[in-house]
Amino acid sequence: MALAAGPDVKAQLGALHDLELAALAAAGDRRAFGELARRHGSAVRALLRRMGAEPALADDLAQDAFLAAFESIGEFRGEGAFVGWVKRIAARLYLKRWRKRAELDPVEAEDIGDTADGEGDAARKIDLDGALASLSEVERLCVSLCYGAGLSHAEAAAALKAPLGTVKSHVKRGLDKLKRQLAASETAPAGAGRRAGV
Amino acid sequence: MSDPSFEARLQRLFSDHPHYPDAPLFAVEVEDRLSRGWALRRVLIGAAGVAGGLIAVVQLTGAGLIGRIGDAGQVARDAASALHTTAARIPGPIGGVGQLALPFGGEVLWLVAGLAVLAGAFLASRSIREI
Repeated sequence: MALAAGPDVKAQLGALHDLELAALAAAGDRRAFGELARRHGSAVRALLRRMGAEPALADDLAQDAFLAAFESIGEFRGEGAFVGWVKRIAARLYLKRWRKRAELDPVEAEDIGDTADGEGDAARKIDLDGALASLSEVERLCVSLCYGAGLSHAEAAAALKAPLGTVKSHVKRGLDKLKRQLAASETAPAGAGRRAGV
Repeated sequence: MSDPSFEARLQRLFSDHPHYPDAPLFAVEVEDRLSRGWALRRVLIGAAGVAGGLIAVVQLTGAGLIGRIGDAGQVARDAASALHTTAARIPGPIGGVGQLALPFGGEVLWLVAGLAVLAGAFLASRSIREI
């Protein structure tokens, strides 16, 4: 598939499906890959922020994830969504960094206590980002990996280098808290709360 | 106890992400980093090729290969001359063997060498592409 040069190329790329863009990128077309980054950059950045990365770090890691995806675009078979594939790459990059920090600062990384109870928070409208902020760091990671990046519990355990049972219990605790938080946000008066920035 | 409906809802919430206003800038930065990476790769491959070529030239010169090739040519000419003389002395049909020349000359050897270099360059470029 050949793309015409000139200003029309953006329009042509914009009309293509992700799989077609990925095929062009696999043939070395960096503009096609740029279109994929434009389409899905926000999703990857949002996932990293939801996992707990600071915005600047999330943006850097999202870029790294896209570059890594370009390098191994030949491995993308199109069996799942392109964005899901890049999200998994990004999540693993963040985990790698998180584990390094965990080795340096094990107390903080192993903190599994509640950062907020949430029971008295019913007066505030809380969306997913606000609800995630109420989870401990590890719970947030486990929930984001399984429900945001689409990893199975076993894959998340392998990525975290943690026992499967530990990951399952973090996910369960995280889900329970999120359920309470989201239920509370639904019963809160509209417009009474703040929307947590992502 | 798992709650499939809540889990499905959570997956939907995760897939519902904000669209950042600087998304186009993000894409441009990704493209820039890709271009820088490719430019660097090209420079490195070119530098490696030049360095390899220089090393090859130095090695060839240092080993006196060109002189040896000249000597080998002289030896081949002497051998051919001796063969021609011997064959001329033998009566009968075999005596004509001395009239036969090799079906190729020095040009063909150079041509084969050039083709070998081209094939090597082709294989190298394919390998680099695979890397």
